[in-house]
Amino acid sequence: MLSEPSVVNILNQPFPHSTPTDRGLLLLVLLAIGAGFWWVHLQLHGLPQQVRIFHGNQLVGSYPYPAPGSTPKRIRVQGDIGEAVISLSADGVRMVDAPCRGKQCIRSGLHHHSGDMIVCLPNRISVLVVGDSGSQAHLDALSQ
Amino acid sequence: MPSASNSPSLQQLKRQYQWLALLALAAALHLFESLLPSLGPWFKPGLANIVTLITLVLLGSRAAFALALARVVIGGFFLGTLFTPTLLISACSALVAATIMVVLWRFPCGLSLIGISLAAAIGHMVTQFVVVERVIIHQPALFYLLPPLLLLATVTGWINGAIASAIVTRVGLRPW
Repeated sequence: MLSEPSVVNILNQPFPHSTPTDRGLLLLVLLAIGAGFWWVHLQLHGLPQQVRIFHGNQLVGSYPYPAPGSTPKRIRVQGDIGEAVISLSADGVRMVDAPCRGKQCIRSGLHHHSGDMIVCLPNRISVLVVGDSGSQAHLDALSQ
Repeated sequence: MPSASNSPSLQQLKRQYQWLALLALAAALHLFESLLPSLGPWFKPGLANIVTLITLVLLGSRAAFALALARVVIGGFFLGTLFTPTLLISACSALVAATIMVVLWRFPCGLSLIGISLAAAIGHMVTQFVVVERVIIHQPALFYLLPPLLLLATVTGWINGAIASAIVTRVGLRPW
């Protein structure tokens, strides 16, 4: 239970330290995350080739990644709560309009690496930048 | 009028009062986090988990579970996400995080509050992704976003655990 600490007593307490088990857990977690980064890199390395737009698990459209100098394109997609507008340009892919409240999908900005993903949860719209890595078939399987 | 034997003891009243005060703090932190600039989709520092940890130490497992769920519902009410998938994601994640905290607290394995907080933060983040993938987006490719967010969760989980541990130690709740 809470005692009645004075300010002096509080300030005199040593700052808590982590235990060796804490640090072991941290190391384990960091190794697992490192392995995760490596796995993602193996799956998705390469230049962006294609942009796929999904509503839930349904593929709505698949577009070639815009080449430098190409005309920007705007794609309108109907989601659960309204229409989303996605911009494809040589600079990258971004959500420019969405009916959700938080607008996190819009604030996430431009995406131009293979494996990048824009997700609008309330509207259940996701946009995936697909690269030219050797794992294309794997990604295709994932995206079904 | 209830008899004296049925009325709660002073100790019980004090516990209820402490729980309500902690709940108010957790809900306030939950709302405060929603006002902070986002570091990324689905990422929040998890400040309210500091209060869940303190509740666990101060009032026990049931109180910690109840607090984790109640603050999500209160937060959803004020943020307008009640009865939306967002609430489901928050509730599942908070309950998994609370479960991890309770299990590691009740069955000590050398972890301090810092390690417990770290494990809970990781559990929270993974649960978010699983719920989003299974219930809302149905896109396994979503998991490609997990490693960087787990890294952020590791940092915040560690810091939150250190803060909770410092608070618990400095108010004389438990010698650490």
